[in-house]
Amino acid sequence: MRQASPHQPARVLVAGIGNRQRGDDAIGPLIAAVLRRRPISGCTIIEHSGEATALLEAWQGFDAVFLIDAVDAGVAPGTLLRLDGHRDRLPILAGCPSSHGWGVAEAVALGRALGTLPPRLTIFGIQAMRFTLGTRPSPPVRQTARRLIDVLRHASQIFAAGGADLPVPQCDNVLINSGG
Amino acid sequence: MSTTKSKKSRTIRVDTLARVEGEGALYVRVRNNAVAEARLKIYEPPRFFEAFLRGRSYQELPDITARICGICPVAYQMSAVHAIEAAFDVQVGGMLRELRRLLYCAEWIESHYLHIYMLHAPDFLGYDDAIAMAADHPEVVQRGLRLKKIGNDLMTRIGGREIHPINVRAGGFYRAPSKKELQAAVDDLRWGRDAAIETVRWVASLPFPEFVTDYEFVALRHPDEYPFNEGRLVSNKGLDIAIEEYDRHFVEQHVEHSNALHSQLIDGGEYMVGPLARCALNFDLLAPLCQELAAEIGFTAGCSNPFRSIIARAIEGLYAYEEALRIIDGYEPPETAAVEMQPQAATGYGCTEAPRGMLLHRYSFDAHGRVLDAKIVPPTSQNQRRIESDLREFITAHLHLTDQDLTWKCEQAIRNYDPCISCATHFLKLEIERE
Repeated sequence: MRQASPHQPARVLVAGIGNRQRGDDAIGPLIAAVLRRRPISGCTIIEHSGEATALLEAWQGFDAVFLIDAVDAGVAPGTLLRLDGHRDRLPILAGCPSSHGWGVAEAVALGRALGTLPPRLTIFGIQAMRFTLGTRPSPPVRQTARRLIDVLRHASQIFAAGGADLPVPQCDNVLINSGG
Repeated sequence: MSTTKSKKSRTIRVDTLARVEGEGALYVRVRNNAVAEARLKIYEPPRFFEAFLRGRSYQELPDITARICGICPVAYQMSAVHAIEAAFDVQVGGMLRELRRLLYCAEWIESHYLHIYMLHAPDFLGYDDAIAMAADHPEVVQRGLRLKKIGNDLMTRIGGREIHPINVRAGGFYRAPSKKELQAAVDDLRWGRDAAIETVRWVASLPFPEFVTDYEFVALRHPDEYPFNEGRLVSNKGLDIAIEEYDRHFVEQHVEHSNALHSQLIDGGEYMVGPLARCALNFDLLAPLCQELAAEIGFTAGCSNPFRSIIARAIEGLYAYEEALRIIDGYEPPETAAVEMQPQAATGYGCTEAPRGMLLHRYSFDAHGRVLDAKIVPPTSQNQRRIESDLREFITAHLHLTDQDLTWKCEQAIRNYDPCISCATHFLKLEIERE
């Protein structure tokens, strides 16, 4: 695993996780699409299904990775959660026995076990209101997404310019803020 | 899992059986040291694919049926296009046929190595899941992940994307890949072939429960090649029919505890499809390297220990790598990417070998190529009755095991079949009751 040196350009990945057809689950891909309209030097921005083995592959070679995903943490819709992929406990999706259901949490767990996590891995989760097929993201989720886009753009610029050892910039209304 | 015991009965209950595709439940009742009942309960709602295909154009079938499964979409596409072509009297040969086999190689690689490393191997080594196994055997899990990824990459090269490929159409493909595009996969495939050899040796070293039973194996058999797309339906008990004769020899029936239909032979016999069946019926058609390796590890065509299906799966994975390299070595882009066809009012059958076993499609079309009637028989619905019998026989012979060990082995026995409940309709929860 390559450790990014301070003040050297870092390879940054922003991955919007989710399914565009499933209500609030579309928010990750939509954020990625918005960020891509104004490219950030040194930063790769992708949409991703979140399938665990593909995600393990997608983040290989990057120094800093931001994942954005809709989550169900049982808190108010639109609440932003920030997790450190190396330190924080990510709940394995309970009651999801199928390998079809392997997602972000399993990718991070497997990456930890294999020692293949990127040096910096930050997961932004937005509490969803609905995952109904064919619906648009709900208003509180869209509102949080607008704020998160600014944070991500700022953080990606800082990291890509050589600040990969710096903390992720703060943002409002973060329920879990472990400093990732 | 919960367990209860009385003098004559024990109840073992597992709320969720992990590492299968989809959701469902298993219920086993043991009374007076005999298995009174073993039911594979598939309770997810039916998906009605066959019903909503009615009225659709034949051109939509490969893309719609691919959505039945994210692990084996190619199998659905291939059975669909063969059925369409049979109905419209179209033959697809040469490089287009080779490309279809290559696409199938990609799917077998993806599916087989996912099951071997991520779903089944943890059973043999005593881990709850592949994540726990990875902590102790990181190099093994990484090998499995790379083996699978090479299949995904090959799928993308031919199919346009790694899940639910979009390049398959009746008559061939929307676009044929260039020679250069396929050649770029060769280095990875060569690495994969070596890793597949290591995999065969590794799975052969796993501890296998003692269990042998008398199976009727059913698979396609082609005179010249290990079966992917074409052949006759044969068994080790005398079945030898053209796929168009399927309805005269097989029947599907509804049982109360399952939303997936149960398949059986018309005389009521149950049967097994999948890697163990294919190996049993087509061993002589495996690549020489596969046969040599099988001899080295002592795996024979007559193997009827279902726990050793992981070996058959690994041998087929190696075959898929060998076959992919053979096809790419001789590949020249076809002059056209697809054979044109004229719809006609007719019925056609298509039967191909999905990773989990043979998959039959039957469609009746009107003169414009619109579907009047559809029938899809996935491998897991064919194996359901056989899985129940395996459990009945295995538990009867292993009642001395503790509830915990017995439950573990029962789950493992189910995973021998790599059941895809999403295909059969969805799926699993395990419950054993002893009285």
